[in-house]
Amino acid sequence: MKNSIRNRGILIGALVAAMLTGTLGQASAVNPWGIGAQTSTLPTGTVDERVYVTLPPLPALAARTAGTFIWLGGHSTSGGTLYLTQPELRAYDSDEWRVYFEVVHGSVQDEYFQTAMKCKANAQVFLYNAMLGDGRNFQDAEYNSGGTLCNAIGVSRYQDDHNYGTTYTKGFTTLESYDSTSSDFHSMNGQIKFTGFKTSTNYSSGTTRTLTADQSTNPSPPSCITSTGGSGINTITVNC
Amino acid sequence: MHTKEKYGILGLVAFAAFAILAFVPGSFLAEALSEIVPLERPMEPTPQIPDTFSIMVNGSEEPTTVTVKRGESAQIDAVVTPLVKGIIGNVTIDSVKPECGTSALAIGCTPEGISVSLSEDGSNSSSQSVSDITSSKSLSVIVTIAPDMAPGIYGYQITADTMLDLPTQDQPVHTGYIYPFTIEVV
Repeated sequence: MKNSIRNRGILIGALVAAMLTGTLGQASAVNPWGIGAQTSTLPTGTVDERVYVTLPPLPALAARTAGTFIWLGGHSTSGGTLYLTQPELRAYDSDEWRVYFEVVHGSVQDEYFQTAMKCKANAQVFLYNAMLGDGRNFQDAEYNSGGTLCNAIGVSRYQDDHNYGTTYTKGFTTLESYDSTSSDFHSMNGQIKFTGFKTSTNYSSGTTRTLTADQSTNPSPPSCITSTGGSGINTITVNC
Repeated sequence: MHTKEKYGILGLVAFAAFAILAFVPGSFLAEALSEIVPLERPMEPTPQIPDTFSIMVNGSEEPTTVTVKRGESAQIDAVVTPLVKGIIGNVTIDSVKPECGTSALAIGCTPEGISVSLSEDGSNSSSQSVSDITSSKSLSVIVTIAPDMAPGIYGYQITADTMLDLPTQDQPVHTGYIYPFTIEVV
C-alpha cells in the first residue's frame, strides 16, 4: 500500500511538473528578455546608427530553438506609432549565427527576413540601420574581420511596408532571448563586444554616442548575464 | 487522520492548485509581470517564423562566388522554392550596397559597370524581378561586366518575399529569404 501511495505521489508530482513546465514555457514563449545598452536622447535629425559586434560562441540547443538574438536596434516614430528596426544575428545552429532583418511595432511584427549569411564565433560583423528620407528603412550586415568566419561578405534589405519616419530617437545594442534557463547560456561564457557605436545626421561622418547599460526585466535575464556601457561601447558578459 | 488519507488530501490539493495554474493563460501571467516592471520598448517579435523559401545558386544553398571577366557575361542558375504551402513569392536581384549615385549611405556603394538581370527562360531580359512564384522555379541570372569595371569583389543578393499569415499575428507578416552571393570581377 505504501508503495502504491508513493507511486501515486510520484505520478502527481510528474503531472504537476509537466503542467508547471508547460505554463512557464507558454509565458516565456511570449515574453523575451533583453540585456545590453541604449543611447540617451539622440540629436534631432539622426538618420542612422552603426556598430561592430564580435560574436560569442552559441548557446545550448534550448536557447537556440526558443530564439536568442544579438541586435542593433533603433526607435523611430511615424503617425504616432513607435517602430523598432533591427538588423540581428540569431543563434542558428551549434556553431553559427544567422543574419535576419526585422521591423516591429508594439507586439506586431511587420517585416522579418531570413538570410543565407551565417557567421561563426569571433567573427566581427558590422551592423547598419538607416532611416531614409522617403520613410523607408535600410538594414545591412557586413563581415568585417576577413577570413572565413562568415559565408558571405554582406547582405542588406530596404524595408518599405510602412512609412517608418525619417529619424531615430534612440539606439540599442542587445542580447535578447526567449529562454531564461541560465544553464542554456553556459556555452556562451565570455563577452559579446559592441564597439564603435555611432550615429549621424547625414549618413556619413558618425558621432560616437555613450551607451548606458540597460535591461528589460519581463522576465529578467539570467543573473549570470550582465552588461556595461561606455563611449561607443557595450560589453555583455556571460558567466553562467 | 490516517497517513494514507493525509497523502491523498495533500495530493488532491496540490493537483487542484497546479491544475488552476496550468489553465491560467501565459499572457495573463505576462500582463501581471509587465505591471511590475513595464518594458521600455517594443520587443515582441515572433520567434519562430518558418523558412519561407530556399534559394540555390549553381546548385549550392551556401552563398557562392561567381567570377566574371571584364567585358564578358556569365549565366548563373538559380532555383527558388517556396517552403510554405500556398504562398506566392516575388523574386528580385540587386546589389547589397546601393549603386553609387543613388544614395549616400555610410556603407559605401557599388560602382556602375555591373548589370544583372533575372528571367524565367534564360532570355537576355533587363528585368531585375520575377513574380508569382508558387512552386519550385528555375531562374536565369545574367551578369554582364563593363570593360572598364574595376577588378574586385562585389556583393549581390537574390531576395524571395511573400506575405505570410501567422496564428500569432493579427495581420500578415512581410517575410522572405535573402541569398547573398559575390561577383568577382577579374
